[in-house]
Amino acid sequence: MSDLLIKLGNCLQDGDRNNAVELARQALKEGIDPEVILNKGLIGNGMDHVGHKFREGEMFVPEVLASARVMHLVMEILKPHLVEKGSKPIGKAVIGSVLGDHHDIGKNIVIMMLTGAGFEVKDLGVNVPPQVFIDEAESFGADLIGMSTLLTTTIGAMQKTCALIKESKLKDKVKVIVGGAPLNEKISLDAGADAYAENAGEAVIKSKELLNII
Amino acid sequence: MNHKERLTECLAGREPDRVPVLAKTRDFTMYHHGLGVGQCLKEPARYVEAELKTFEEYNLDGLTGDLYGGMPILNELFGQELFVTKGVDGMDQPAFAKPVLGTLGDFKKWPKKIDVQGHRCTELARFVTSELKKSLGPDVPLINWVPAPFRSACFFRGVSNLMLDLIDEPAELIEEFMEVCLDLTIDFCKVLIDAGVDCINISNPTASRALLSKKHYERFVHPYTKRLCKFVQDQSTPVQFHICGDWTDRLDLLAQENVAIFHVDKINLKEAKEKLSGSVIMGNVKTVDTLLHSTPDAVEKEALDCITQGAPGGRFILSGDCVIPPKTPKDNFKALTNSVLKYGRYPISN
Repeated sequence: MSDLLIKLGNCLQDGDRNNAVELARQALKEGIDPEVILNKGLIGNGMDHVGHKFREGEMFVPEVLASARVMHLVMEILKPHLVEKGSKPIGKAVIGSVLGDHHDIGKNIVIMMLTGAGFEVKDLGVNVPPQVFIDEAESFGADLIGMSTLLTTTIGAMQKTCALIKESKLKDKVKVIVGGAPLNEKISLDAGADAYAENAGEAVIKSKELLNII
Repeated sequence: MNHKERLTECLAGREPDRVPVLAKTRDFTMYHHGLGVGQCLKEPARYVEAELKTFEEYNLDGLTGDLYGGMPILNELFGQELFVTKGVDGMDQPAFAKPVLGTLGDFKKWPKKIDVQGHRCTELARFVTSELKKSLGPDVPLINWVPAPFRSACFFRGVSNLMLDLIDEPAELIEEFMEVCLDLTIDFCKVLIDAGVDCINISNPTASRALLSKKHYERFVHPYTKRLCKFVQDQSTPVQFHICGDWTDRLDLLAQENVAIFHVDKINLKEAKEKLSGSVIMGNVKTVDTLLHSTPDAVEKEALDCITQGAPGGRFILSGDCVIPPKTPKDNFKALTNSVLKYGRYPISN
């Protein structure tokens, strides 16, 4: 891997916005393929390590947010070049906190991790009604719907959304992954979700498994 | 022994006549009395009445009357009133409030001394506490909730924003902000103590290992939690700290925080008693897997496991591992609270 891309990945891991942006621009100027910058620099030497360190308890939410911010900034620079090249994400997902739940931190970390893994993710926000998950997934062309619920009082919203998905035309087109403190695997799968993730790191692994992405 | 005597013995590190049992019953009470959060925030007397009925109906050694527990109550001091949304079943969800600060430094625009008196949140806390205490009397401990200083900081700023502030902003600015959050929490505690509360409950889920490094915890959370609990302790009032999530790497810091009762969820009870040996341990029948979704027999079995692990030697209170879910079957909750009568008589061996 080029030295430049190693440095870019390190800046991402350190949350160093300014140097990361400079390095990305330099990489483009040197003619490095934007897909290579993304896959090797940002993801391979960047967010993959962040995800691993987060799962292992070596990085925590503030640091992960800082890294995700670098990813977002550099992606803004790469996007026009990736679009021009016809680059596609490895998967598309819509993620939100279910109806009645205004907590966003869990959902935000999952979004960052999935984006860092190469997914294109639409953030639906908080307090998302069941039908909105379906409508947004359809218009976005999502492969995956992700739901976060942090309160026992909102488990019903997750169950209702899963039920609606199963009744909709999306039922064979999207996979559903859920997570949150009051859930477990049994509750989630009984409700009709395809997978339950105990944390953001697991959400990436299971999302890839659901979509048969290596 | 009466309820207060039982808990007093427990807090003193002695074995009472039997294992005490406490629970956070707000959501359970509201659901089984057909009440919504929005309605109770407007008519707190209805909440008070319902919680008193819960106390009469179940074998509890105290009552947690935290109508606004877990909600950004202090945001109301800055004009962000709690609002309620409906869930899919038409039930009110726990109230929320929008963040107050656009940037961290905006707290410097607040008045030098913020008066908590005269705000709805304060009057609500005072009313609920004093009315419940009046009815319960001196022999039944009343517990009410305040947000820990870091919890308030997250509510004021938004969790994601504050997490990034820990990276971006100068440490001295964050510490100055935490001092303000601490002062506000202390003033709010004074209201509850003056109104007759017997125990202050705090929780700090955004400070667990799932979110924060121990380094950040030690600098920006620990000193302020410690000082809050010291203040409360100096008013002859114990603190009950609900440690939701994984706190295993910072138990040494928790042990210094002047906490009388740790209400635990996922931690092993024996380990908790060893590592937090100066405090009472409370917990930890699984509220979702067991209380909400299982049978009375399963609840009783798990309660017995908890008692077997935690009760020997005293310093143990039986409870769920978190808030009792609203739709918990009444028979399941009864199985929890009655289990201490069947299995909780001291002496209890390992």
